[in-house]
Amino acid sequence: MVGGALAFPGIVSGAASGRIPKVAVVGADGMDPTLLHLYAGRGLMPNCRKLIDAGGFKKLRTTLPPQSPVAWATFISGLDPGGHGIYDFISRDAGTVTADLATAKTSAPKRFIQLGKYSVPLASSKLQLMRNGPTLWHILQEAGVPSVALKAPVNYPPTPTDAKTLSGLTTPDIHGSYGIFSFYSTDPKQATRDVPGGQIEKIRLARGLAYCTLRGPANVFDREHPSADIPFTIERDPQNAVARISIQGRDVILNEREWSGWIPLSFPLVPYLASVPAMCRFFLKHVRPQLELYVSPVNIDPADPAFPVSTPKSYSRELADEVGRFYTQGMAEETPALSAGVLSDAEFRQHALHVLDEDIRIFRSQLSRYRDGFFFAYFSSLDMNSHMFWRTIDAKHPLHTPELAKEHGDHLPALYRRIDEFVGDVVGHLGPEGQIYIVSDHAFTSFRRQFNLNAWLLDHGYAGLKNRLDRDGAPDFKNTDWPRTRAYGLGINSLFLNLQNREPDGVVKPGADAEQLRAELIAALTAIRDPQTGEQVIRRVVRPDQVYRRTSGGRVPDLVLCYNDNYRASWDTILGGYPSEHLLDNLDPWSGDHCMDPHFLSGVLLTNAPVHHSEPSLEDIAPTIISAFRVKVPDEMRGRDLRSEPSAAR
Amino acid sequence: MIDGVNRVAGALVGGVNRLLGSASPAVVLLVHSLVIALLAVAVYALVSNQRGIRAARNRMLARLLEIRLFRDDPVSVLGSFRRVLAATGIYIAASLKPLLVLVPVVVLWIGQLAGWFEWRPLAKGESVVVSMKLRDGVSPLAQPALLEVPPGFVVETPAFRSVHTNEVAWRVKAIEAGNGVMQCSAGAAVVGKEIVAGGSLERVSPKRVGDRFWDRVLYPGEESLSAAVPVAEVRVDFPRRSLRFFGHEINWVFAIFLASIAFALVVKRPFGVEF
Repeated sequence: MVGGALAFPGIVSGAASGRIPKVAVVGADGMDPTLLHLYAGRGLMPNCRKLIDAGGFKKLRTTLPPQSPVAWATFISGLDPGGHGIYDFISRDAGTVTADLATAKTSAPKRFIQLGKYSVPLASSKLQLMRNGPTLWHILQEAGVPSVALKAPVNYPPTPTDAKTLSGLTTPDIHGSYGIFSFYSTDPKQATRDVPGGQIEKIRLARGLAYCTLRGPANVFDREHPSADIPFTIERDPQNAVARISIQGRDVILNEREWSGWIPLSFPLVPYLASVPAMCRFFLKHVRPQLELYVSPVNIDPADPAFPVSTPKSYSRELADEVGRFYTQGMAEETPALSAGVLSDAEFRQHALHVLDEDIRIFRSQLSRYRDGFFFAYFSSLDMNSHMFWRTIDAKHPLHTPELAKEHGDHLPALYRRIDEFVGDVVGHLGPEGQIYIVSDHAFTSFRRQFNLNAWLLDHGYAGLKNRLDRDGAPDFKNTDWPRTRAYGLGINSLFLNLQNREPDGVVKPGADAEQLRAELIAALTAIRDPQTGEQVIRRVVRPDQVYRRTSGGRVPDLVLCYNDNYRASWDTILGGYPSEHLLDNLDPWSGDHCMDPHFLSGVLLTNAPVHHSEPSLEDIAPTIISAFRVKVPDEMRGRDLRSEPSAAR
Repeated sequence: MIDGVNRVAGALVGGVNRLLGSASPAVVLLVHSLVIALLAVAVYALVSNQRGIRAARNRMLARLLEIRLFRDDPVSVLGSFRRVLAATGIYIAASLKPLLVLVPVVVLWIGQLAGWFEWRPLAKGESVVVSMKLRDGVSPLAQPALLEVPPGFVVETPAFRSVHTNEVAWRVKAIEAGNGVMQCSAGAAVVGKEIVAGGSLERVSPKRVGDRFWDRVLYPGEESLSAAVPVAEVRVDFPRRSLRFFGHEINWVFAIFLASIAFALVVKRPFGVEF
């Protein structure tokens, strides 16, 4: 910090001419420019309307691909995907071709001492953030600018800094996943099974009481690494629509269709010696005729974090003390539960509003303490709810009905209005001298039709299966015959070649052969037409090395697919499945998306600061904000200071 | 009789806390540690055999020095160990009398302090489960059960009745700071139970218990329930109080134990008392 103070004396001296500016960024993931104008025009967003009327609106060019982790990593680092190293939600280990989270990696300890049934690790697990480059708040804090970043996306585990930060998007649940719900039901039609993003357990009642188990994290202290589970009971009243959940000595009484608050938990690893603190929420869906209980993904407890979610580490506890416990899971809206039919639209809405309320409570509490410097608050609500409720506003979506639009068509406008209210709070708090930037990482569009990339590759001779009769039943490339596979899709927009000396059973020679295959695939993929609509399915296929400034490391895809409007990769293909059909209707409530061609998915830049450049992009935001504090922009950042006159640009 | 003793102890502890006004919980805890330390010194001064304790301690010290001096002689060391054990036994015997007086008083005192430091009042907007356990043989389904709450609280659920734990339970929410007595009905019987909400250091009674001796020692906040009513106990699951010293959470019993010993070691010298 001393170095920063010497380098930028005007920032830290407190001299009249060098007062620290006030710059606040409201990160509104998925705020769509068209909807913004629509709702602002209807009077739902008066605070944004004022900024638009003052000429503060610009479309903000997004990243390739326009996925949230990729785009926000660019926002916070000022680097393109080749620089920050996040190319997709899902990454793969080239050595094993297994899917993994793209943003963080956990390395389990390798050496243990065996003590009976216990296995004592000789080192702790290593948790590594896969995003490269310093964050903009770290650069500012080092230069003496007090900085706060709340629910900071793509920052788990949080990078060390003196700035106050709380991790947001990509923070996992206690299992290390993006969130696994549990659902317990006495319904005879239900069967115990895993579903995408959750697990369903069939339970039996004996005199109104059911014994259940809440799945915990893997117990690294046990030789066989079983999950450290917590037993609990659900008991319903003989007549009233009320039930009691008893877990770890704590009773929770819920009315039917009611959510509990956060319940702290402790998953036992070694009796009296080691445990994992966490927390969950319960939702009593039905009491009778069937007893049904939903349990949220088990979150890292901010009051007692088992894994770091903030800097300093005590910050999450301070926040929990001040505003109560809150979701730490990055994608807090429990979309898999709605997709699985476990939560209804109305139940999901109720839950999504709770998530937004929690966020606003945190942000308002910290905004009230903010005096000057950098303030960042990130909202996931518009993005996650647009994913799930786009079918209410797109009359051509296969799941759209007039009844649905009538019942839930007011949800997205209401969320936009809530974000606008917070924008009003920030503008009011900043005063006339403060700068506000409302930034969204991408727009939104409908996801009507899904494309099975791996199935197409299989049926066009680019992939092979060990057992062709079982093409539907084996996801995760389990059925892939690698020696006969030249290309495979993994992640939403990524396509990889099965390269020699990179993949374990690589067959494509790097160099001319690979280039020829890439050219062949680009031509073939862009030629695909949807027989149902006649539309082009994939608008462009891009070579990353032709658009990113650098492409080092084995994680970079060989091709990036830019889907056409209304089309996207299917859920099956993302994790390496080979379903029979190439194109089919999207019948999942996840009905809106943005993982298409970035050309028609520019996000939002709304500001009271002057913007002198045309076509601003996400890469410009970090340099613009750093420059606003008169701090030197790192050379690696290639974006522009949007406030400077074009002739003065770097 | 135990109810009367609890009332006296409760008045004393409450009196100390009222004198301290709005001091932080940590300060209040330190003051009680000092009180316990002074009490311990007084009891040792009045009822212990100080000469016996001093002699036993000196003998223990001498035997330990023997072990150090003759550590090369295993036979002597073993003999010294035996003599250390004997001296320790004499020391314990000499300390028994003051401890017999001190321990019940400290247990009563700690029991009272638990109401202040183990639990905290509800915060505004916070909910809590109130459970009424019925006596063996009384079915929760056979008794119409009702809960009435004082102003500032609302009952959020209908009665939940468990045939497995023989309980009737409700969820109650504090909508403003305050305290009062809830009326829990089981059939014709009505029992009261305190409930409290607010941010300050206030006494909290998590259970109103029946006539078991240890229940009445450990939960002394309210008078015990009459054996004539069908209710065995009424429980309010107040949240645990988190006590922090310099940012670190500590167990209040552990803290009071350490602080009392530290204070006792300091004050014993002016009083010329040996432990």
